[in-house]
Amino acid sequence: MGAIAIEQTVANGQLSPVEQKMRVWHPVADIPPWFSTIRGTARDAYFSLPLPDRTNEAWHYGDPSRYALAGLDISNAMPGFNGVRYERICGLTGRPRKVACLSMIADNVAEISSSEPLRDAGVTVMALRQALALRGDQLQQYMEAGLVPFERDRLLASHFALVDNGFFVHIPKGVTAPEAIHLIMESGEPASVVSPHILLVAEEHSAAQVFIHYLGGSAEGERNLQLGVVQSHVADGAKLTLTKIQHLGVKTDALTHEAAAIGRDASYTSVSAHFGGHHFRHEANAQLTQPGGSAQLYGMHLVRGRQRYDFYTHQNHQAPRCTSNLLFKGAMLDRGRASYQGLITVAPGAQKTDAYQANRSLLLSPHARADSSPQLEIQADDVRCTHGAAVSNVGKNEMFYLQSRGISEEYARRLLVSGFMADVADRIPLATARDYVYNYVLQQID
Amino acid sequence: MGDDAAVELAGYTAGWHDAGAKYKFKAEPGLSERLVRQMSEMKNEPQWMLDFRLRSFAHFQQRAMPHWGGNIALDFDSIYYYLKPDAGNSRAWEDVPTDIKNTFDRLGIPEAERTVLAGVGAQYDSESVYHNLQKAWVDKGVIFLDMDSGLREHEDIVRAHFGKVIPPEDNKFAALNSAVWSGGSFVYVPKGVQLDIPLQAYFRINADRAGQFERTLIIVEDGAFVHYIEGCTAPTYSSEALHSAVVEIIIKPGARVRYSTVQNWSANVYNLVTKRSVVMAGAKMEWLDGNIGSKLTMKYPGCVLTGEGAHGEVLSVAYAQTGQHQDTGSKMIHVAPGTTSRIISKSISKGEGRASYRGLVRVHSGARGARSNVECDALLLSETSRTDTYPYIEVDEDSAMVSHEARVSRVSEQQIFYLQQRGIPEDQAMALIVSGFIEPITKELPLEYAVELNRLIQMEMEGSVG
Amino acid sequence: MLKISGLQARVEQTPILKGVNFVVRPGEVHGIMGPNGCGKSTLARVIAGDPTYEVTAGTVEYNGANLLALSPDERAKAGLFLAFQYPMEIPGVSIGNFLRSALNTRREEPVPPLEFYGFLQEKLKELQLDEMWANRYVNEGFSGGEKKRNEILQMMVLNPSLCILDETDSGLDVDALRVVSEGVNSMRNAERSIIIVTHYERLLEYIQPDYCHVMLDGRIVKSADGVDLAREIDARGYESVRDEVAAGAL
Repeated sequence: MGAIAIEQTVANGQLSPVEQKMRVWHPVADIPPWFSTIRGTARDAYFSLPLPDRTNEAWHYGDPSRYALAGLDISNAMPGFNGVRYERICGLTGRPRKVACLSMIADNVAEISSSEPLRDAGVTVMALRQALALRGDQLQQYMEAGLVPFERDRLLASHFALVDNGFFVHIPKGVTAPEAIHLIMESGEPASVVSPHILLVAEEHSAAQVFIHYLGGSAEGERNLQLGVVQSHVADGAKLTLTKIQHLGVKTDALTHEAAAIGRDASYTSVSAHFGGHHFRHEANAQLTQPGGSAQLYGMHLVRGRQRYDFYTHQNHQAPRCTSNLLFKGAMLDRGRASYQGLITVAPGAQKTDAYQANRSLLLSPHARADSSPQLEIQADDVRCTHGAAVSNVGKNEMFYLQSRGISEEYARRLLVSGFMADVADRIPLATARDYVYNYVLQQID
Repeated sequence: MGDDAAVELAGYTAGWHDAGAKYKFKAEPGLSERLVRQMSEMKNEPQWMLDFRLRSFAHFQQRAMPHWGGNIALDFDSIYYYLKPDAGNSRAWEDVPTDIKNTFDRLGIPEAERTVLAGVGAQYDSESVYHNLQKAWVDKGVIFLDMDSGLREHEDIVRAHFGKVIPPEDNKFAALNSAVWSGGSFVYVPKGVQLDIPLQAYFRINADRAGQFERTLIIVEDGAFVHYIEGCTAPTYSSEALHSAVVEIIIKPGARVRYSTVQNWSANVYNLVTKRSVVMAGAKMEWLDGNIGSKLTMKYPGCVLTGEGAHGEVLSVAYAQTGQHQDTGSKMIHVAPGTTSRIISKSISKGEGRASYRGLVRVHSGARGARSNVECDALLLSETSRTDTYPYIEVDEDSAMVSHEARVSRVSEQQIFYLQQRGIPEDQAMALIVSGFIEPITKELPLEYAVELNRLIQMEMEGSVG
Repeated sequence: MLKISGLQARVEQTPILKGVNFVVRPGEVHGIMGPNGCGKSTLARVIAGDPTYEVTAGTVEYNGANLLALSPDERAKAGLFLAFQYPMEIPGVSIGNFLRSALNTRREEPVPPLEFYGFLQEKLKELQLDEMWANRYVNEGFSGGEKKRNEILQMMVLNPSLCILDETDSGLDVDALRVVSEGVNSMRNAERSIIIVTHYERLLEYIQPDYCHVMLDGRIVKSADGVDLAREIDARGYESVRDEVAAGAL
């Protein structure tokens, strides 16, 4: 069936170089068979599914064609220690660096620094490929859990069909990781696609802080694409905090899918800041399938130029007594546009759910645009669910107040915008990363 | 006054209809170009209206069903689209045939009430039978006729506005209505005329597989005001019934229109309605929408705010119990500067009912200083009830301020206990709490409608707890 | 009028009342004091029929009838009134409308609106509440003190035979306390009984009870005439009573 679909696509038109490679890919010996099965299934799904269209509610605003593989090839770049990148990385992770830090570009992972305390605590931080070779059995249950539904989604299928490497982080039972873990993803060269896959596993009653930095490539040349997936499995009683800073280059389009399976009384916190890329879509899916789980999702973004951002989040309450809290804030300048769509689902029986969702947008120029669609589907009655959305410019009264104290209009606007972002930015648990974010925001407002 | 008792609360199940109703022409079920032509000919319509119907029919056939909203399980080929009852269009009560008079009696409109109202239009199986307009209004230049008569007697005005607010291509059911519309109201209010007594209309489905495709056009000139009330009741059937109306309203500068609806279709009716008004500079539109009945209602009263300072408002109450899906909301399009909109939506879901809010607020670039506020509150009365919210907020103007808030809650055990401790039994307590929940909207309705709504809730709450 | 024997009750799986014995005769005013968690509010609510609690043993007789067999509204119609510690908000329902509905359930014929509003205005004046009070929605946006006064207003309108005040004094300033106490005192007569559940002695000084009781750990452990017991607690705290219980003196 898959083969026929492939042949039909070939017959219908030109395949891009990466699609041709997908077509001829076959399993190799040093990859576990179950992983090859996933890649094969994804490849078949890719060739048999159409791109999503507007009848798919999750794509009400986004443009799926921006994340297609047309004209792209697989990247050959090597992660390296070029001076500028190194400085930037240190700026984000802070010095001295006793943290575990891995960097990835194309399918190649390099270790930038390692942490003895983490190793001693039994925490694993390694390349996915290495993990597949050494710890295949352990990874199998998580990768096969189906947390990321690629069989029905062509774009996710393309990720799984191409995935070759990424990161694997594992925190053993009862362990609190003594240091933070930094993972760096870099976009590839022009006209290439990279598909990094990050698997985070926090066993029962463990705790860890993970940082993921998406850094950009060059500002010239043809577009490149990053299709990233971060899936977290947070076991009963565990606590995982994820901080993501996305600052890709202006020639990069990216689709990132973040999914978390949250266990009984477990907690998942995700704080992200998005600044780069041209077309960028971020999907976040919090699965609360066990009682007492908690998901806290915070995001901030700033779009300018002709950037187009698109967010789709899902707070999925399948079990009683779970809490979820989402706050996404964005500022739009120039001709920047961002759309936010979020769904809170409360299944029948998910009583005592406490779910909250808020999206706030600041339009800072005449050609900026914001779309927002916060949605609820509630099928249990003993719940507390609220959501809100608001779009406006900086308040005239607030501007006047600041100016009446002698602050220039330009500076007043900067203060108000950074003030607007504060309740998300202040949740970034690392001072250097927080400073990076605030500095960037302030520089953009003029 | 025995009939009054029948209409009274206990008889609200309205399980009656005139078994011996006579029809002059009974079309066969299903829709065809031939039927459309036949209908237009029987009504003696001008060519342009026939062309309009045919163009709409063509669009209906090729247009896809909406991929969102409720589940529309209708067999379009088995619905009757046009029936002409055995009574000419009369202007005096005495001229109305007896069975039709009986129907009005059962609807509870005693003779005395008619002197208070400006005019009563009644739809009896797709054709208006009775309209009367108090002389006073006629002298002021107010026109209130059924739509067919409106087309016949005021063709120029109708032609200038018909299908301009809601073109047939707007959606599949607007296309259907545009092809087979029959009945409805035509209202024209001249400059500066303030109608302080509401205009009312009653509708009724009274045959197996009868569809209702009334078309209403309301034109209100500068500085005028009218309150139009649409309320309907339909008997219970075992087969499907389709109600697909279109209401177009044009509000000229400085004018104000309030359109109130309490819909209580029987539980087998599909109520798919398109209602929209164009609101010009400094004008105001208020939609009051009460959705109690039907199997599925899809209705999003909307305003296109084209003039500076125009204001649009939707106050809506939806009640869904087991077997019902109310998919309602609003559309507010801000085109001009200084426009404002407000939507308050209150929904109640009981048993396995499903109440969904679906709304759009779009602010176009150039609508400087536009303000919009949406509040959706959902009350769930049982473990199996369901509520959804699907708002779409699209803002292309940086000086606009748009906000939206939604809350889901239930009636708490402690609230019921508090009322019980004051001697109020459980189901009455529930009814009181639910009435309080929708009070911000019922207080805007005319008193008799607020009373009707609260009585309905009282009835519905009996046996609701547990 | 009210006879409670061996009453035990729990919330979810936690027992709160562990065998309460209590008798109230017509015309009597009783004060019940106790530290947090002793079960005094629970007792008040269980008598009124709060569904949160489950009675596991014992009996409650009200004018000879088994009160526990009646639903909360039936108990209310039989003459019981509970002034809630945390009165509920009922949005969109005006106080006037609410009270009229409550009154009408006890009557053959609904009370004529004019007569009702005249009566209500009288009561509002007595409690020093402004005449627009009746239009406000039940407890919506009320301060703690306003909610308590609203409870007393309801009591005065509904004319109960047995009034139970659950921590009515919490949240009241000195002036409000005096006004509320006057309202309660105005309702004292030979047929009506009042039970005042409170943490502090102050309210009992205003409304001099006939008897005072102390509750500890789900039981009434000490009773005495008049207000002396309350004064004693005020001076020496609940520990003194606890010691007496431990020493077997009670």
